[in-house]
Amino acid sequence: MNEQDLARRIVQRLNGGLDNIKQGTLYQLQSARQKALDRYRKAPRPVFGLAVAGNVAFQFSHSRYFNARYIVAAALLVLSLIGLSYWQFVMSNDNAEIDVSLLTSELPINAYLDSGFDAWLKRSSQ
Amino acid sequence: MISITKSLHKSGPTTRRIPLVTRKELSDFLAGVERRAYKQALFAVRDNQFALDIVQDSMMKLAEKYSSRPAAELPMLFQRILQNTIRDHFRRQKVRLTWTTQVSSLSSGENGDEHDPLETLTANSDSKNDQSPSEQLQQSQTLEIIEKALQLLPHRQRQAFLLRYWEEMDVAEAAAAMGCSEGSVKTHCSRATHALAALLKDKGISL
Repeated sequence: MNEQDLARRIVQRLNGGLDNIKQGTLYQLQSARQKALDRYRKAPRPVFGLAVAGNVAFQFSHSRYFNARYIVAAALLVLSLIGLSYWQFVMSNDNAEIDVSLLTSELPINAYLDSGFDAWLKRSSQ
Repeated sequence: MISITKSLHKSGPTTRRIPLVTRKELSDFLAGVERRAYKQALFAVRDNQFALDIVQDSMMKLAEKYSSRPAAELPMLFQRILQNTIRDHFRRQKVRLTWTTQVSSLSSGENGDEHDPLETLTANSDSKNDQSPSEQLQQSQTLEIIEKALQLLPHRQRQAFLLRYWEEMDVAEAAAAMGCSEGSVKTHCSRATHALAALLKDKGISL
């Protein structure tokens, strides 16, 4: 008889012995099982927002567009938008100052709208 | 029916969902494994009450900490918990024995009194096997000899033998449950089987 056969026969006997465990012991095992089941905790359902956020982050990070070229392009676009916004902010401040100076100046607005002023200035400076 | 799912492994855009264990699945699993677990603990600690405590602790740990795992992982997890709980029992016992040398929990219940084997032979009420009382007694005595032989084995050999052949784990699973290499499991199994064969031969038992 080889090792496997002997082990199989021993296990058969052991399995047969499981039916002969005393009733009191079986009751205690059943009681232990019930105590364990009382501690069973159902897995918490995932929060929808977190689940969606996690999924979006996962999909984004594993996207084929998520590479260096697209990151650089996106960064340039963001920087351009920031620069444009800043320039517009500065220009809007300049316009405000002009408006204020126009309204408070003794010169009429038409003086600034004179298209021949540059030509005049050029001639007069010669 | 399984209602809770959990995504465990993801490969590319596809997602594989593993069903988690339900209360009923856990109950069925524990009911199916509790007797063998009790016997395993009993072979190791040789005390009925300690064995029951170990099984109860293992069940509670499994239910409390691993109820969010798939049902397929339960056998492996439970065996690891059971083996660790048995090991913890021995650790506690060692500490106790260090302080109170008079107390030996291993000797409880083994007071040398003669007992009648018929007292341990429970009546088979369903009588599914038409065996005579003498055959039942012989089987009971053979089982008792086998169980005592298992108790005489070194702990690691008994552990490897029971995990491999009684719990039907493969070598890798048994190695994981025992926390050793696959080679060690094979060695322990082989030595255990040979030792059992020699012990049974000495008793004149042929299976």
